[in-house]
Amino acid sequence: MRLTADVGVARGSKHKEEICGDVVQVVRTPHKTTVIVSDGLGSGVKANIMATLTTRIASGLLERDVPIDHVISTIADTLPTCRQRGLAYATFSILQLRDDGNAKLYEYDAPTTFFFRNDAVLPVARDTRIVCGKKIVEASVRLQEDDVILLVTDGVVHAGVGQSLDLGLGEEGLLHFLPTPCSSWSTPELLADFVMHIARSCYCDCLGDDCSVVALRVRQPRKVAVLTGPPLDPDKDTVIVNALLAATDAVKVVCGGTSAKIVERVMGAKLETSLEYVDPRVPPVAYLPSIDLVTEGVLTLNRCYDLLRLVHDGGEFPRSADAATLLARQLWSAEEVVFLVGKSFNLAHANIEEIMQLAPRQYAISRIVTLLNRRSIRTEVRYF
Amino acid sequence: MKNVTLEFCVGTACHMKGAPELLAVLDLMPPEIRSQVQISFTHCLEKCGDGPNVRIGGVVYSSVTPERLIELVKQQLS
Repeated sequence: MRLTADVGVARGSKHKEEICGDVVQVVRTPHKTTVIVSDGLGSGVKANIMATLTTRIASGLLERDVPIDHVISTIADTLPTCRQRGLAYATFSILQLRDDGNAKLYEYDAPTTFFFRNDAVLPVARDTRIVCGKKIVEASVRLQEDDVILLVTDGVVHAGVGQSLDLGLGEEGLLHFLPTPCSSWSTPELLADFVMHIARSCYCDCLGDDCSVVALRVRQPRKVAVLTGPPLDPDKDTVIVNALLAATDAVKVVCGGTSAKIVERVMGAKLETSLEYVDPRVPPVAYLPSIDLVTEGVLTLNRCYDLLRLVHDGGEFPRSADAATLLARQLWSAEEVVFLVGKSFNLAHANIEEIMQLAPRQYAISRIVTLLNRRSIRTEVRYF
Repeated sequence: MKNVTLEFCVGTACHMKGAPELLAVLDLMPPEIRSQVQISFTHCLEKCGDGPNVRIGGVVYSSVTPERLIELVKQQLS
């Protein structure tokens, strides 16, 4: 069975600092998911630069399948050591999850990474070895579906030290607040948010250090099928809907009002539109039986592209449930996406697209496909 | 007490031509009138070129402005 993981990230900057000194980067290649968490010494811009340097070196080399020893030695040789404190300028944790379920963990001066299975901590044997004079902790784990992994920076482990808690939160304290890490949160993002909330509470809402939390949930690869646009030939309506319904193992998405009406008619189902305008830029979602997500078309696809671009460039998805964010999250967390694109054009949209500088449907899809491919997500576009 | 149900099209064209502004008008209505208005959304009323469209009592009204919407609600309630 092939395995991959959903990744949730939550971060917070030290009180009065605008820039977080921790950097998190997730790299997906066709057979591997790699998470790199780096904590720059101190806080602010200098810490961020050092942490960014660490994650960029690691991700760049790992993407090219450079052996981990070379990656670590390159980082160790490149990063300077603080003259006053005698410490390296950035610490890091690197977790590599292969699609056969084998995971490798490398930690340099970073807090313990937790592995959970069935809500219990999974005991993991750790070895220590010296690479370029740096003490690297290594571990190998065979993971299963629904296992949860939690990486944190020291700001979380030391949360509240000298303030609300004499010795800080500590690893045991953190685990005390997580009695059911595998079963209580539907997504790793919510788990990461919860751990960040614990840290914030210990700091009485004024973070004494940069804090980062990365939560992973192991799962089987996900496929998404997106139907968007009516076919040029109305006789093909049934064909395009059947192509969507044939993807039984996929998350099914319909983008477009007319497209949704076609699916409604062919399936003999009832289309119901939500009354909640979550984001005024994007029309609300609708509901159809057996379809996981129903959204408006061109506006949602354009906004979805903007969000994917944002995340591709290192940003994060908004914590909102508007149609475009829901669609973008589904696409970004997939391993394979099939677009079933109807080529019929609604003339009433022509002016609007021009005035609003919106990309027409097919162009919006091609831009989304480019971004997905850069993330090693397999895509297929079929026109009707 | 008489009630009126407004079905707003929130498809691409109607959304861009002002459906959200029409919805905002409802919030400005006096509470005694607003309480008599039920709303629902639909993704297309198939008059995309004439949006924003609102269906009231089975009749589709096109190019509806906020002022026109208030008039239509008053008519339906009178």
